[in-house]
Formats: sequence, C-alpha cells, structure tokens
Amino acid sequence: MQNKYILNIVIANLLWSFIPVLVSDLISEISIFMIIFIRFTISGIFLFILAIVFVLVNNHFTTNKAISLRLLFENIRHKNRRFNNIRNYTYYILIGFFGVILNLIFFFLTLKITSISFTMIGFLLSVIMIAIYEAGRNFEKFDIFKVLYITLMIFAILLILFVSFESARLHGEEVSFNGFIYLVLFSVSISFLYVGINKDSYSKLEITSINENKYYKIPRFLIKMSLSFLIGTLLMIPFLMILNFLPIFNDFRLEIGSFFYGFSNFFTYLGRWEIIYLIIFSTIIPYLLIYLANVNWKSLNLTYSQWSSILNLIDPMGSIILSVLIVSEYFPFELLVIFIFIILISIILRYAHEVKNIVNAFLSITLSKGAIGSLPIKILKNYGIMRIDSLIGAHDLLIQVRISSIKDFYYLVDKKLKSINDIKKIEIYFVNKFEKIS
Amino acid sequence: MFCKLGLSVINKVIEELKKIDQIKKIMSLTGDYDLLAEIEVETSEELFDIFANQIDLIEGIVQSNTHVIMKSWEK
Repeated sequence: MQNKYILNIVIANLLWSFIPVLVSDLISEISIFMIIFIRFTISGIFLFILAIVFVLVNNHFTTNKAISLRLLFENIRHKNRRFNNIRNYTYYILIGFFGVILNLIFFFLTLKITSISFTMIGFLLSVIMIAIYEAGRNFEKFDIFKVLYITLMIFAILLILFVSFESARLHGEEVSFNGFIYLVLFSVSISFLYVGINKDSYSKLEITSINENKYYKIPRFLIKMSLSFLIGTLLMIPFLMILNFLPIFNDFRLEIGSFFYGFSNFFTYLGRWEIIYLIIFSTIIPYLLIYLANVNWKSLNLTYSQWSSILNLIDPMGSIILSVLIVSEYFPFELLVIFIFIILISIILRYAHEVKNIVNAFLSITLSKGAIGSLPIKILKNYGIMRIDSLIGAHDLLIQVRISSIKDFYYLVDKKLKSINDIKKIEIYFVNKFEKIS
Repeated sequence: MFCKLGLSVINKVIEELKKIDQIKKIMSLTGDYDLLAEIEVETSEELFDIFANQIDLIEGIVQSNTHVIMKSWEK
C-alpha cells in the first residue's frame, strides 16, 4: 500500500457508517439535538484534555523539543490565509457550527423522518456539489474521470430514490417532503465541512515549531477539533432558542422542546451504551485516526485530503449495507449489489481523476545576496509547499510543491512567490513520475 | 543532483541509479533537466565515492548539477 495511513481513513469511515443504524431507535426516545450536544460536548472536552496531556507528556517525559502551550493558544488569533484571512477562532466557529453541528442536525432530521438509505443521498449529492464548486473555484476541468464519477453519483442517487419510493409505496406511506428539504440542507452543510475543514494554515512560529518537533501538529489538531466541537455545541443553544420563535416545521419544533426538557436527564442519557459508543467509536477514535493520518502523511503522490475525499464514499455505502443487514431496511438485493458496484467504481474513478490533476513540481530558486534569513519559513507558509531545502550550489533554495490543481500552482508561483522581492529567479520542474522513494 | 540525459536513455539511467543505495529518491522531470535524484551520505568521501565510482560511469548522463542541502524545512 502506498501509505499505511490510508487504512486510518478507511477505518474511520467504517466506524462512521455505524452511526445511522445506532441512532435509528435512539432518535425516537431522545431529542436529536440532545444526542448531538452530548456527543460533541463530551468529545470536545476529551480531545481538549488529550491535547494538554500530550503536550505535558512531550515536555516532561520525552527528549523532544518542548511544545509551547502558549503558542498553541496564540494560534487561535492567527489569521487563516486559506480561509479569507479570518481569525482562527472565527474559522473554528464556522467549521464547528455550520460544518459539524448543522450538518448533523439535518442528517439526523432526515434520518428520523425518512430512512437510512434516503439520508445517504446527502453524501452523494455533496460529492456533486463539491465537484461543481471545484470547477468554479479552481477551474478544475471536467475530465472523463470526473464526468464518469459524477454520472455514477447521479445513478446511485436515482437508484436510492427509486428504492425509497418503492419502500414507501409498499408500506402505504409517502416520502416526506420535509425530508427532501432536510436532505438538501444536510448536503450543503456537509459540503461546507468537507471543503472548509482542510483549509488550515500555519503561522511562521508554528512552522518553526513543526520543524523543531514534528509532534507539534498533533495537539494543534486536537485543539482545533475540540474547540470546533465545543463552540459548535455552545452556539447550538442560542440557535435553537431563536429558532423556537420562528415559524418552522413542526418536527423541528418538537425536537427543540424535547432538547430543552431533556437537560434534566442529561446524565441518564450519558449512561446509555449508544451514547457512549457514539462518543468513543463514532467521534473520538475516528477523529484521532484521521488526524494521526494527517500529521504523519508522507505520500509523495496524493495528499491526505485527496485520499480522504476519495474514501468518504465508504461511509454511505457501509451505512446502507448495515441498514439492510441489521435493521432490515428495504433495499432489494440486486439493487444493493448494483449500488455497491457503482460506489466502488466511483472510488476508482475519483482516484484516477485526482492523480491526473495533482501537480507535483520542484522550484529552483535564486535569491538576492544575503536574503535567505527567515525567507524559507515565510515561503513554507504558502499552500502547496511541502518542503524547502537550502542549498550550496548554483541555486539557493529547492522547493517541493504538491498542489491539487494547475490553477493553484500558477497562483502560488505568479502571485505568491514572484511577489517576494528577494527572489531573483524561479526555475520550474514538473515531476513526471516518482521513480524511487525510500 | 539534477541530471540532463541523452536521447531515449531515461529508463536505463533510472534503473542504474536505483541500484545505488544512497540514492533515496529519483524523480523524472519536465524542464531543463530530466531527472532529480536525492542522495543521502554520511561523509564527503562517501559522496566522492558514489560519484567517481558509480554515477560518473552511467552512460546516458550528459550533464549533472549537484547541490548540497544545508538545511530542510517541512510542514
């Protein structure tokens, strides 16, 4: 396997695929808002404590360079260059509330009033939304692989819709109109999460810390996720209070009422095995797995976020399989086989598309005399730059670039690097193939 | 080490370079140079030995441009 940490992403998605089956009975007893609140408040607190413990162990029980807690928290005020230069605490609010919490609210609402299979359409729809967004933002072209996997997503969505309508007909019911609305909202919010969560940037001080101690990234990610979770759950309370006064769907209003009344049973709910499972196996462990993958990612081909987006389809596929096996949800066997086949082919096509579009290059830089100083750290902050070597020879710096589109590459070179006065000359070498890596 | 190669010899040169243990990475390029190889050695004597007794003897390498890495930064 190209990179053993791909397995982390697979396992995380498999763990997440259990969520719909797990909560399908739970949501009829406990408010979905309470489930989300408990899950992410407890997980957020745990991850935060874990980050602090990690730093203390690193600083007092290892010979690694000390990680500064002060720097970790100062980072919260740092401007995120990849997210419109907003401060990180604003970024965490957006990711935590609009990305994590809202997506789960609409996910659980869709699940409650429709079916597991129908809800999984949201994931497939988000793949299409993100593809359109990337075409618009990055001018990423619709190559044959992209056209094919989007077409397959549409087929998969139509297949699930057919099954859902057929199931409703057999049970003498109708597919809820509200379900469609919640589904679209779920799709939009999870698309936002997928796009936004990896748009992170390091400050100069942080890059220096990473190069002094590669484990700096671990507590940084833990703090990022824990603060996103905690801010998201805290904001949920005023959000629901305000929503309660607005003309909203009745099922929504009932859930809000149940949430606020449910606080008196908070610790009773916390003791339920489903909640404990959700916290440990559906939140803490998967997020730890994917962040361990993120910080240790060494592949010279596709990035962690590319593999993550390729393998995200395992989650809905797993959920539908489990829904048939465990809760006996209606999904004819032949159609299930077709669906699984479609998803597996989509994963392969997505991989082919990403490999085709990724840009690997080396930039050979000549600087003006006496310019080297802190320039490498300044340059390393830019998105797409993986490594900088300071050289003795005809050139001063060798920069390794790995970036997901040619447009991003041109932006990096033309707008970011060429604007640095001390850079006299840039020679570009595109990598055709990595012939040997050891 | 950047390498410029003769015509139609790239695969042969890559196979020869792969045999050298101290060469940790080899990348084929589009640009002024055809190959970039990353070499890791303990001493300058070892570097001389690799060049004099192995790399210089590979047919197909027309020109090479070697730089020593003083320091690296990653993220």
